Amino acid sequence: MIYMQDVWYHIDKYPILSNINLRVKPGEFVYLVGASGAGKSTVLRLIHMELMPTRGFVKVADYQSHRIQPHEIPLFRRKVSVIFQDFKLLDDRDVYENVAFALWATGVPRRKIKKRVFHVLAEVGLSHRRYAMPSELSGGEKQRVAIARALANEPFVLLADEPTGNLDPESTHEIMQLLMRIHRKGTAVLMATHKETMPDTQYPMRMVRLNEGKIAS
Amino acid sequence: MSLNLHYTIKEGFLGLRRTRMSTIITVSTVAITLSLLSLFLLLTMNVGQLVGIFQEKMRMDVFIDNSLDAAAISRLEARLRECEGVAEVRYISPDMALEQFKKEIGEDPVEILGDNPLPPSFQVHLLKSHHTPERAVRVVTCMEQCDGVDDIIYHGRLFQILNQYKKGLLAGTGILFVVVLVAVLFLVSNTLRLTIYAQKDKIRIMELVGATPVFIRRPYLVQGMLQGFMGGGISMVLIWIPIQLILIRFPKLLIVPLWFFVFPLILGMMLGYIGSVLGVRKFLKT
Repeated sequence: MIYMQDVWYHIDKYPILSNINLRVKPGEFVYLVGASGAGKSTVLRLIHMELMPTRGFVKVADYQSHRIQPHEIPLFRRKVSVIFQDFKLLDDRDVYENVAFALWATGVPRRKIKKRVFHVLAEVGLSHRRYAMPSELSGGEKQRVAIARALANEPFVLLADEPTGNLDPESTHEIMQLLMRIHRKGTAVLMATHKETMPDTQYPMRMVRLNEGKIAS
Repeated sequence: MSLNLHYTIKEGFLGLRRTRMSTIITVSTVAITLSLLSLFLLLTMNVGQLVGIFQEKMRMDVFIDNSLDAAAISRLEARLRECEGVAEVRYISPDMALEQFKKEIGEDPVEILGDNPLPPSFQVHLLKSHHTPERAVRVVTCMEQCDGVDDIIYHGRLFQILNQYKKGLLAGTGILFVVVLVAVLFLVSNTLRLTIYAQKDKIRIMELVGATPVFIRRPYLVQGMLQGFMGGGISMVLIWIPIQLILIRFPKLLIVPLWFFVFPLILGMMLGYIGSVLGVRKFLKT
C-alpha cells in the first residue's frame, strides 16, 4: 500500500529526512512517533506527494513519486486523505458545507453529494450539528468534521498529522475511537504523534519511531 | 447547469464581494480607461470617414487658355486623359461655369462686370488608387506640362492636413490602446492576487482534497471577466450619454455604428479574462 524506499529529503543542503524505509500494508494502522522536528509531517507530506524525495521514492498503491504526472496528483489525493492538528476547516461555511466542499471540489454530482455528506456525518456522529459553524464547535467536533471531510471521497489511506495534538483527553479518546473504527473498516491509517505513551498503552498498534529525520525503530 | 459551473459562477461573484474595495477601484479604472479609448476610437473613425468622403469628392479644376479653339480643346482633353491616374475629364465652358457660379453664389457677375470673367476649364476626377497627396501631385505635374493649361486648383493642402490628422489620431489611439491594455491587465491581475492571497487557506484545502488546478482557477477567471464586464458596461453608459447629447443637437455630426457601444463591453471582458489568467497563473502553480 505505502512503500518508502531509501527516501532522503533535503531543504537546500540541510537534511530533513535520511534513509527512510517504510511499509504500510492495506488496512493497517501505524503510528509515526517522534519529537517535534523529527520529520513526521515531512514523511506524511511525501506520502501525500506534496513534497518529492530528494533521493529514493515513495509508492502509494499504483502511484509512484518519481513517475506521477502533475495532472494525476489531484486524482491521487482523492484516495489518500489527510487531517491536521489545526483541522483546516473553512470558517465561513457550516459543517455540512465543509464536508460537501471536498465533494464539490472533486466534481461529484449534486445528487450524490447530499447522500454522501449525511452518510459521513453520521459515521463521525455529527449529523445533529450539520448546520453549526466551525466557531460553534469544540476542538473534538472540529476534528470530527475534518475526518468526515477526509472520508467523503472514500480514501484507501488516511494520513493523520497530530490529530489529537490540540485536544483534551476526552476528545482525544473520541477521535482515537473514530480512527480505530475507520481502520477496522479497511482504511489504512498512518498517524503522526508526539505522544509516546499513546501507542504503547491506550491504543496499541504498530509504531515507527522517528528521530532527527531517521527511523530509530 | 452542472454543479461545477454553478460553483464556478457562484464563487466568481463571491470573489467580487470578498475583495470589494479593490474590485471597485479596478472596475472604475477599467471604465475610465475604456471610455477614453472608445472616445479616441470614435474620433479616429469620424476623421477617417471625413477623409474618405473628401477623397471621394476630390476634384481638380484645370483652367485653360481662353483663346483655344474647339479642336485645341479636344486635343487638350485627350492629353489630360492620358495622364496616369485620371478617371474622368469634363469640359466646363465659360457659360456653364457662369451658370454654376450663379447657382452657388446667387449673384450674376455679368450684371456687375458687363461680361463673363470666368475662363473655360476641365473638371478632372482621379482614380481611387490616386487619392493620396503624393499621387495627386504627380497627376498635377503631368497636366501642367500640357500646352494650353493656365492653372490647376485642387484642395491638396486641406487633403494633406486631414490625412495628417488621421495618421496622428490613429497613432494616438494605438498608443492609448496599448496603455489601456497594460493598465487593465495589471489591475485585474493584481486584484485577483489579493483575492487569491485572502483565500490561500481555502485553496490549500482544495488542493488537499484533490481539486484539479482547473477547478481551483475557474472562479478567479470568472471574477476577472466580471470585473472587465462591469468596467466595460459602465464605460458603455459613460460614452453613450455624451454621444446621444451631441447627436440630439447635431444629428449628422458623428457617425456612430451600433457595434461601437458593445465594443468596451467585449474588450473589457476579454481584458478581464486575460488579466485573470495572468494573475492566477502566477499564484496558482499547482
